[in-house]
Amino acid sequence: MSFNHNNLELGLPTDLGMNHPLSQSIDDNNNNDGSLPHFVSQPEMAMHQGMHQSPYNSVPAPPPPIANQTGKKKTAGNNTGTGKKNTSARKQANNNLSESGAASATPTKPPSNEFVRKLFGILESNLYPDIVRWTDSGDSFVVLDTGKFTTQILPNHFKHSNFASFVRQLNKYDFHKIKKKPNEEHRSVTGELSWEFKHPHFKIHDEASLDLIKRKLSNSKKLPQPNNAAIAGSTLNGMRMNALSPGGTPIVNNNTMMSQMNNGSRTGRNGLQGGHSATRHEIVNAGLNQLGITKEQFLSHTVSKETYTTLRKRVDTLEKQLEVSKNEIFIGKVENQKLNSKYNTVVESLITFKAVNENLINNFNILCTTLSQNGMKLPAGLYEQTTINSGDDKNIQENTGALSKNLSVPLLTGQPDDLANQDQNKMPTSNVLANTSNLLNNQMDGLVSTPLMKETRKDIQNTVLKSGFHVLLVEDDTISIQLCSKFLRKYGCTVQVVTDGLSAISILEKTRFDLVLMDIVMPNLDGATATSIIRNFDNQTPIIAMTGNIDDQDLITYLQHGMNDILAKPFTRDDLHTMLVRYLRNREPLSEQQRVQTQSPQQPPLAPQQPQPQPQQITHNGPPGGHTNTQSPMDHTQLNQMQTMTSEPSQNNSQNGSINQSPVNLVHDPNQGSGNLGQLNIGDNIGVPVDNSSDTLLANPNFLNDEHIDKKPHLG
Amino acid sequence: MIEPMPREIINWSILEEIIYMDEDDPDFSKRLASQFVVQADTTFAEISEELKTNKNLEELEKLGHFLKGSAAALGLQRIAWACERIQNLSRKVEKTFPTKEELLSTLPEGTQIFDIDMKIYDDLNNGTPPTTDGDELYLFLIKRALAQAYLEFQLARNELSVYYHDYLY
Repeated sequence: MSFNHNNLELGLPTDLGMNHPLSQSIDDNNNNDGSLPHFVSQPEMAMHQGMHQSPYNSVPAPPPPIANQTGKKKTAGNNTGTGKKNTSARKQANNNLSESGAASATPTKPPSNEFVRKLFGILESNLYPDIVRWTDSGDSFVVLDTGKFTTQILPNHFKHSNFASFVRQLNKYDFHKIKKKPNEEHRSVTGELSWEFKHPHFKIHDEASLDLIKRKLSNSKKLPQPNNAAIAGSTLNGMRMNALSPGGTPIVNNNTMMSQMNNGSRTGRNGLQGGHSATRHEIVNAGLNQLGITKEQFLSHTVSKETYTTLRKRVDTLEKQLEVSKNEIFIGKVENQKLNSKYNTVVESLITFKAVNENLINNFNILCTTLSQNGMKLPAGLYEQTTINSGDDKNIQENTGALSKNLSVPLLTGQPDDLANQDQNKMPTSNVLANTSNLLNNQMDGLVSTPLMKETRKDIQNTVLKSGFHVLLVEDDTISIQLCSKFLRKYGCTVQVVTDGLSAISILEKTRFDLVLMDIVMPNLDGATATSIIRNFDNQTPIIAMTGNIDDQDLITYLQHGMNDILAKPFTRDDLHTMLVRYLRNREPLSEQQRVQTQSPQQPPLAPQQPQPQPQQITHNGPPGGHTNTQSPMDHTQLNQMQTMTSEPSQNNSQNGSINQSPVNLVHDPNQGSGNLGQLNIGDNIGVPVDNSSDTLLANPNFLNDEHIDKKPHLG
Repeated sequence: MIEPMPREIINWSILEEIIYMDEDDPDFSKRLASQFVVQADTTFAEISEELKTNKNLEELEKLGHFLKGSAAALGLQRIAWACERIQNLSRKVEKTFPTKEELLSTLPEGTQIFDIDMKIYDDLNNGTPPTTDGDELYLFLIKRALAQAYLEFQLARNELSVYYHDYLY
C-alpha cells in the first residue's frame, strides 16, 4: 500500500514529480563542496505517484559517518542520461573556472605574448612545412593539417592537444581566421581543411612587430549569473562558435579599427582597476562586433561575484558554527561545574546518612548477639547475613582502594581535559558524589529500586556475557524486531520473537527463557497485562519492558505488573547491553543448566534462578541454602509455587529488615528483586535501599557513571 | 508543555550504531531504512484514512505510536516527535500543536524542501481550527501533526537517500 496523496484530500497536478528545478540543483551543486557526485532526475516512480519526488542530489550532504563515497553504488537506469548531461555541464563550468584562475593573473604580469613568440618561432624555423607555415604573402600563416597540428605540434610546444583552445588563444591575441574564398588560389595550395590566420603585426621575419601584438582586454560588464553552469557553458560555446565558424566570425580587415581596438585595450588595461575608462566607453559606443567576444572572454576569465559571495557565505557559516560550538563547550563546562557543586552537597548528606546507618547496624548487631545469647531464636539467616555484612566491610575497604586507583579512567573519558584535570584533584570525593547523587536521585524519584541502578559504561563494556542466553523478544514492529534481535545476537544470545502479548504468554508456558524483552503497546494484549499474567506461573524470568512512554506513572504501573526493569525506547546497543549484564551477569544460560542438570539430577533445577542471590552464593561456597529443592520431577507451575513459597519469608525479611541485605548483592545482583518488584510498594521503600547500598556505593567504582548525569535516571 | 522539536532530521549517533552492524551484514541498515520508508508510507495512508472516515482517536493513537517506535529506532527523531504528537493528541493529553512557521524554523539551516512537499504540507495545514472543544479539535490538530510527520518523512528520506547514494522507496 502506498501513500496516495489523494488520501490527504489534495488536488495535485499529475506532473508534480517533474517540477523540480534542475538548474537550481546544478547551482546548488556548484556551490556545494562537491561531495555530491550525482545528478539524478526524478525517478520514474516519483512521476507516477507524485509523492516520491525529491532528487536527493540537491539535499545538503549529511555529515557522513562513514568514509565519503563518491561513487554511487546503484543508479536507476533512467537516471543516467540526465546525470551525464549535467556532469558534462559542470565540467565545462569547471573548465571555465580553472581557466579564469590562470587568466586573472595575467594582467598583473608585464604584458607578455609568449604564445605569439612561440608560434612565430615555429613558423620561422619552418620545421613543419606540411603542417603549419607562413603563407606565400608572408602576412599570415596557415595550418595545413589540423589533425597533425593537434597531435604533434600542440603537445610539443603548447602542452595541450586541443585545437579549439589554440584557436581561442589566437583569438585572444586578435588573430583572425581568413575566410576562404572559393575563387582564391589558396584553396588549391592549402587544401579544404586548412586554417589561415592573420594579424596585422604578425608577419614573416618581422620579430620586432611582435611587441605590438597584445592580448585583448575585455569589457567589465557581467552577465547576470556568470556562475551558472548553463550560462557559462553557453558563453564558452558561443566563443568557440565565434572563433571556429568559417563564415560567422567578424573578420577585422580594417586596420584602423584594429589599432583603435589595440589602443583601447592598452588604456583599458591601465584603467582596469579604477573601473571604466573613457576609452573603453568609446569602444563600447563604437559598437564593434568584436566587443561581444571581448566581453565574453573577459567573463570566462573572471571569478564571478556570485562565486565570491557563495564562498564568502560559506566562510561566514563556518565561522558561525565555530562560534556556536565554542558556546556549547562553554555551557558544558559551566554545567559540569554546577553538577560538581551539587555532588558536593549530596555527598555531605550521604556521609551523615552513612554514619547514622553504621550506628544502626552496630546497634542491630549488638541486639542480635544479645538476643541469641539470651536464648532467643532468630529467624534463619538473619544473624548470618549480618556477619556477612560485617565481613563485607573488608571488601568495601579493598574496593575503596581499588576505587581510587581506577578513578582517573572513567573520569577522563568524555570530559574536556581541563575539567578532567580539575576533577582529578578532588577525584575521590567528586566521583563518589556523582554516584551518590545518582543513586539518591533514583531513590527520590520513587521510581527506582536498586536493581535499576546503572553500572558504568566501562564496567559494562568490560563485562563479557556468557553466550547462549535464550531471549524472548515480544515486539510488534518489524524494524525494532530486526534491530533488537541483531543486537542480541551480537551479544551471543539466541532470540525468539513473538509479536503480541498473548503469544508471549503461550510460549512462556511451554518454554523457559533467560530473559524476556517485552514491548508495551502491542496488538491483542499489551505487555504489562501479559506480564502480570505470566507472573502467575513464572516468577523468575526477568521481564524487561521496552517502551517509549517514559511517563512516571506508566513506569510504576509496569513495575507493579511484575516487570523487572525498563528499557526506554529508542535504546542504544549499550543500553541493551547494560540491561543484559544487569540481569544475566551472574547466570549460566538455561541451556547450559539443563545440560548440567541431566548429568547430575540431584542438582536443584532452578537454583541459579532463585530470586535470592544470597543463599545462592552460599550454595556455591558451602552447604546448600535452606530452600534448595530436590524434587526436580515437579512440573513448572508446582515448582514455581514451591519456589515462591520458600523464598517469600526471606524476601519479606529483606524488605522489612533490609539492613541485612548484602550490599554487594543489592548492587550487583539484580536477581534480588526479580519477580518481586511487582509486589513492592516502591514508595515505602525509598530510603531503605539507600542505606543498604551506601557502603557499596562508596566502595563500588561501578557508580562512576558520567553518562548518568546527563540522562534521566534510567527511564529517560 | 510539548517537548521541543529536535533540530537534526537524523540523530546520527543512533543511526551510526545500526550502520555499524553493516560490518557483518552488508546493507543491514539500508534494508531497515527501506523497510521504514514502506512502513511509513503505509502508516501515513492509514492515519489519513482514519482521519477521513472513522475518526477513531484510539486507532490514531496506535498508529502514531507504531510509527514513532520505528522512526525513533532509526534515529529519525523529527518524525518520531511528530508521531508522538499524533499519539498524545489522540490521547487528548495535548491540546495544541505549534504553528508551521515555528516548526519550520527549527530545521537546520539550508534544509531544502521541495515544492511538492511544501504544497502537500501547506494543503494539509489548511483550514481554521474548530471552535468547539470536542474530538473535532483534536482531529484537526492530528491532521496538522500528520502534515508535519509527512514533511519530516520526506526530509529524512532525502537525507537517507543522499547517504546511501540510492533513492529509497
